[in-house]
Amino acid sequence: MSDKRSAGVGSTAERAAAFARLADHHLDAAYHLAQAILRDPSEARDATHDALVQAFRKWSSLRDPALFERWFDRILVNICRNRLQHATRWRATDISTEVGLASGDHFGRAADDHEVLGDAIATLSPDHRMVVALRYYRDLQVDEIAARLGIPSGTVQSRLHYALKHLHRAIGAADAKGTV
Amino acid sequence: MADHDLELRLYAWYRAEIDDNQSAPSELRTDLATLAEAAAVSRPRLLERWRFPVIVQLAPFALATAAVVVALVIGMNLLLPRPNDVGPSIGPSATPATPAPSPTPSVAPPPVLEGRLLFSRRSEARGTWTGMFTIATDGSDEQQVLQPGPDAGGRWSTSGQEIAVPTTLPDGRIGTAILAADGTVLRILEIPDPTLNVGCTVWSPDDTRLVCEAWDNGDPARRGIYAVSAADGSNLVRLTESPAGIGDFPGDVSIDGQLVFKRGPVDGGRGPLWLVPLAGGQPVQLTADSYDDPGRFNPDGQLIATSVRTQLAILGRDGIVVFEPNNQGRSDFGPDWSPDGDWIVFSSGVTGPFADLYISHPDGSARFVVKTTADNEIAVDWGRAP
Repeated sequence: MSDKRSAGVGSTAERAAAFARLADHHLDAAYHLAQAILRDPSEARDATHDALVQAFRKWSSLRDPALFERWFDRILVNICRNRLQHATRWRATDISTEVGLASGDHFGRAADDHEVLGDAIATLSPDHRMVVALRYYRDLQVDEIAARLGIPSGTVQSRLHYALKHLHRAIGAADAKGTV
Repeated sequence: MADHDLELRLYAWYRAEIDDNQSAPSELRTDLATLAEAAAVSRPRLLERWRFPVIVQLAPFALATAAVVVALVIGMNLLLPRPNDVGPSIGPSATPATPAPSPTPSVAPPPVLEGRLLFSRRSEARGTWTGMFTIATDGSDEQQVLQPGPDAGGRWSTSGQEIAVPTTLPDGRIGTAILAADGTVLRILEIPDPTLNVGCTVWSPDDTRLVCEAWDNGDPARRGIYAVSAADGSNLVRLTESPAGIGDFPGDVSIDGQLVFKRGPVDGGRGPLWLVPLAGGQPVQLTADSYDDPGRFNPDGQLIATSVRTQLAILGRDGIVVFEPNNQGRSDFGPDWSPDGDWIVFSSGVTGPFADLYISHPDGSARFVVKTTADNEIAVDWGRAP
């Protein structure tokens, strides 16, 4: 079956084979994106696995297989977001990010520039962490990010703005403590 | 630093952090091949061949089908509305459809259970915390508890008379407020330390002590778990010293005075569970495996409820898993025990951060939904009725 055909057309075997072909082609990139968002290889593996299962279940709903990458990324980032939300559900955002952030509490004195930025990214909210990863890891433009997240471009711009502001504060706090 | 400089640093950070030449783990390709092959053969074979997480994720379809069959057999009384059944849910025990007596246990009305649930609600559509609420175990009588500070999960005292929540002190530090069940602020705990942030929510069984997550903005080495007097915040005692870059997150205190806590990444990520005496002593690692929740003791202190990924886990005092309640294809997390220890309450969602509160026996049986909403109900705590 040609990949140009609708995902919902063909026998079960053909549909499964088409899905496997497209998913395999995109698998490495998907795993790397999950790593960029989740910053944990095992979490990234699990998220990618879950995305494969969900995507397969929804495969017949994809009208144009040419849009597979965008469609699959959207499933993946939603799963990553869920996992981030799940991981931080107990701790209030006010405690885990703003307070510690303003103080540079998360940053070790011996931390280098890479660690400081990594720690700062770790304090971003799930929404902010996703747009930052899509923008600066995937190098996607605002409208492409919006398509993957299913939100307006203006919201993406707003999230990027506040994410950068947040990172500035975090790095500034670390700088003030002489860690960079 | 200008935005442009920061953007360049971000590009460089991701390039250094993610190796684009590295292939995805081989098991993912194996999973993908198995999925496609099994789907091409037959659906039953798909169920047989896939490992547990996939079976779990396919389970809702089977359960939904079973629910339809049960509904047809039982008859039209299933169409009667239930007060707390305001939206679709998955699984026959999650959709008890009538208050009338039924010959099928899975469609029986939820039992009337002792105590009251305290939980936090987040609107994912708006990206904001809606607040903290209490609710009866049958989903009725929901009441908001106004918080004097940041949006964070609170905990009932053992007596059910008070609620401990983090709050913001006048000097900007995080402290602790003690509330009545209606949200009235009863007292703000003093912090007998000039620089420590001390957020306390975990009560001792006799309600005289509170266990707290604490940190010093000027000295990361002071991060750890501390205990204070629940009356006024005095008698500050350090219980753990978090390793560098690691956080200790208090879970619960057993009837015999052991604190269970999670030691993991400071952003709240997964970590193994540990025990330390509330009176002070050397922490002991309880589990080799990592969990998402820091653990909750049942009333007699012999079992610990926690979760990992989408799965609840009930551990013995030796850290060995006793039950893994069937999650019915959902993502279950954040469990707590009923005051009598016969039930657990937890958050449960299907996709995305839109969990609802569910109750079941610790082995997963007799599961039912407390209330279905479009928001994310989390950080649930089951207290005795005030």
